[in-house]
Amino acid sequence: MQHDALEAHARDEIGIVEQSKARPIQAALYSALTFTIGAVLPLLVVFIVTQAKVIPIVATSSLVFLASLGGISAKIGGAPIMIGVIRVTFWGALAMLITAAVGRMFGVVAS
Amino acid sequence: MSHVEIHRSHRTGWLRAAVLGANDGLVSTASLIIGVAAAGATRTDILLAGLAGLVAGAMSMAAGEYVSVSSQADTEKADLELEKDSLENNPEFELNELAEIYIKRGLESTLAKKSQCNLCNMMRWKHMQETK
Repeated sequence: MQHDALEAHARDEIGIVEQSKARPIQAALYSALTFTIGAVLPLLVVFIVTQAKVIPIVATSSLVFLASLGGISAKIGGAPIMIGVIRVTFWGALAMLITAAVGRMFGVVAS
Repeated sequence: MSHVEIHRSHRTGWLRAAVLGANDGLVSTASLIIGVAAAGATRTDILLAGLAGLVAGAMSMAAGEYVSVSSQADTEKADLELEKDSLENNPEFELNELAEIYIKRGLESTLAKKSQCNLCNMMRWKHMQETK
């Protein structure tokens, strides 16, 4: 009885429900595993292509991977797929663009 | 007539962590590779930088997720302890509080009238006070 009262207060007063409870170990494992998968893809591309083509091919293939990630995660969550695809691709592209610009700046300074 | 709804909000916890990890792995490694390549590094150097980024990133991602979600879990736990204490020491106050929440959400005395539970009595009484 006391337990039920606590559950009602947790749910309706604080907003904590069993299915949305924080799970640190699960979050750590999932993110480290998917980080590794995400990082291996562009590395494989570097392995395959010639040096001169590294930048354009890593950039374009990563955009394709990012679009797939947005689509797959939206599908798993039952959300509109196009919104996921566009969001993940856009922010990923922006991050890579800025990094490339900074890399070029340092390359110019170093050489 | 049967009707089935498949809800997916229970997936938000691990899906959020998985999307963060995959997005970070892709963007940081691809950015690292492009940045190093744009600075004129050789292919071996690019691969080395990318691999180092992968290992460092995966470890940092696991540690970061663990501590950030742990702090969320600790806060939730502390909040539940607080609530448990309050339920033991001020049961009247807590009951009252819950009744107010339900009334605010639109649960009216019609439902409360039909049953005899403590909470329902509290709600019925509150509703009477308000409609007087």
